[in-house]
Amino acid sequence: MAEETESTKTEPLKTAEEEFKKLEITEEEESELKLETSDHVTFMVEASIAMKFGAVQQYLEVSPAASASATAIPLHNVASRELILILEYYRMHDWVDAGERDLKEFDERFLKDLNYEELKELLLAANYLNVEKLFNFLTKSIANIIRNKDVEFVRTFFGIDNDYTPEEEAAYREENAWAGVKFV
Amino acid sequence: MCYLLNFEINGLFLLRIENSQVTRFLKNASVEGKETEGMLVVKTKEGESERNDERDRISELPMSVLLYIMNFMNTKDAVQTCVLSKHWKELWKSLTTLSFNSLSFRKHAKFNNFVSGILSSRDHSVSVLNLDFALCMPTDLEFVNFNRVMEYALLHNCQNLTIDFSIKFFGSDLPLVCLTRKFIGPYWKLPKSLQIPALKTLNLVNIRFASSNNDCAEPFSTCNLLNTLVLKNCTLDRDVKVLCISNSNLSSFKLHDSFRQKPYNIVLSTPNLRSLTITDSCCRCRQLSSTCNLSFLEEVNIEVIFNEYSSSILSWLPLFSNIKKMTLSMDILKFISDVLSHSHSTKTQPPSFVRLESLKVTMNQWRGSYYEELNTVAQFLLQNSPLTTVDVI
Repeated sequence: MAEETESTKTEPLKTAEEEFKKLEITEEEESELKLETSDHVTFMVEASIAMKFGAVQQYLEVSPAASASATAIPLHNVASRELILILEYYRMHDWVDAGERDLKEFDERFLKDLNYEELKELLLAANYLNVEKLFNFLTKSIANIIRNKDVEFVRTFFGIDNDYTPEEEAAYREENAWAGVKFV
Repeated sequence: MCYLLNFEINGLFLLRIENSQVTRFLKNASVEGKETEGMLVVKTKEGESERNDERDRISELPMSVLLYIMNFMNTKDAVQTCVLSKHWKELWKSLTTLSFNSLSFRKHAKFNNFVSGILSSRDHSVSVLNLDFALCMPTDLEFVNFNRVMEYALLHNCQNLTIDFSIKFFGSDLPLVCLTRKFIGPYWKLPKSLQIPALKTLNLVNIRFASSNNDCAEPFSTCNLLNTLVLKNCTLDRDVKVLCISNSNLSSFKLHDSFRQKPYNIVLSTPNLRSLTITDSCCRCRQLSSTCNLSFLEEVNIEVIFNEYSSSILSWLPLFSNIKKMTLSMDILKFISDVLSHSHSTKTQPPSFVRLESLKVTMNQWRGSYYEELNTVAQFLLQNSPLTTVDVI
């Protein structure tokens, strides 16, 4: 899994831009906002979609001039790779003709194409951007992934080191026997 | 490199901290409700490559995000996360969603211990916004101190409450008609008026309603913020003849397969009602009336298969004069058709749905369709309406 992430990470930025161009369906009349990701890639995004991002809204509240001017709105904690995914998600969910079933299929596919690391990175980006719909979808999906999994799986998933000593574990288990807490 | 943060969070409903740059450096901030003033010193690891820095970022989702994930889990599973590491030990105590289901416990005593353990050990300064309480058998109620749960919900500003005491059979709800009285078990009686003022949505399954005054049950008049009410398989106490839904804020009311013991009436005092749904295969509602003008009512779904007071359905229609969308079961059309053919048509006032935009008729696969009647009834219903088509689905 780690190697997989490695390879996708080193992807040249050019491809990201190309991919974005493919995704983009520009309607000339619609106004666009310029967004700049943490890896200094600039995106032109339909205002209707960009305004769904809480972080963009907040930025424009503080400096309203940015919406008209050519200055890009900086997204410090979002890399281009995540922004492409987020835009893909929102374009699909914004698409008027998408039926409930289409969206469900899209969501399933969207999730399937992400490995756990990508999923977590995307969640962080969604949290930073404050995009509610995607954030809810991702957190719910993660809750589903860790459901009924053993402790080791969950520790690996979140990258947690077990810092309980055996004595602490024993004490804690006794204290919380009512919760059926198990250390595995 | 050192970061010194003086950090304070106020407000009850803050779940996601807006700026994740801040949360990245937070390790011990309490997330919700509690007023925290802490000085945090968090060191970022120096001398590591940029990639490793990024890895660290990934492995540490902010606490608020972790909590958000945990709120989607069954509380039994969510509490289990305390074993992951010391960092997670207290996290569950700030859950804003509690979801109890006796199905996940093999013994009643264990379930009861769990519920009371959660209620006494969690952080009491944190609201319980969503409470979901389900029993796999209604008889389990004897072994749980449910009144304590309700009290806790009240004291912790519960907004969305689901109480499900239905009888599950291979994963689906059993219709009450098939069951003997003993099997249905003890009902939990809803208080005469439900005192949970913060409540916004309420789902009740297999609950009994007691009378508030005389022969009338009026349990929801005190929930001033209630927006959505769903009742399923509920019953009325023996002396109750009228169910009064009086609530000035209620916007959506759904009633499924309820109150089948005896005939009853529904009185709506809901000036803000926008959507009304009644689905019942054996509806015993005799009269549906309203004490106010339901001027905001836009959507009505009535899917009733059998109604011994079928003729009364015609008297419901004037309530719906402002609706835009209506869905009726084919059987309702049949009732109306019967009434029309038995009475002199001059006597029966046709309804006037002047704003109606869509009329749907649902077919029942087990019963015949009445296409001939459909035509007559549709003409009757749409006489004063701009709509000319009916969708049969």
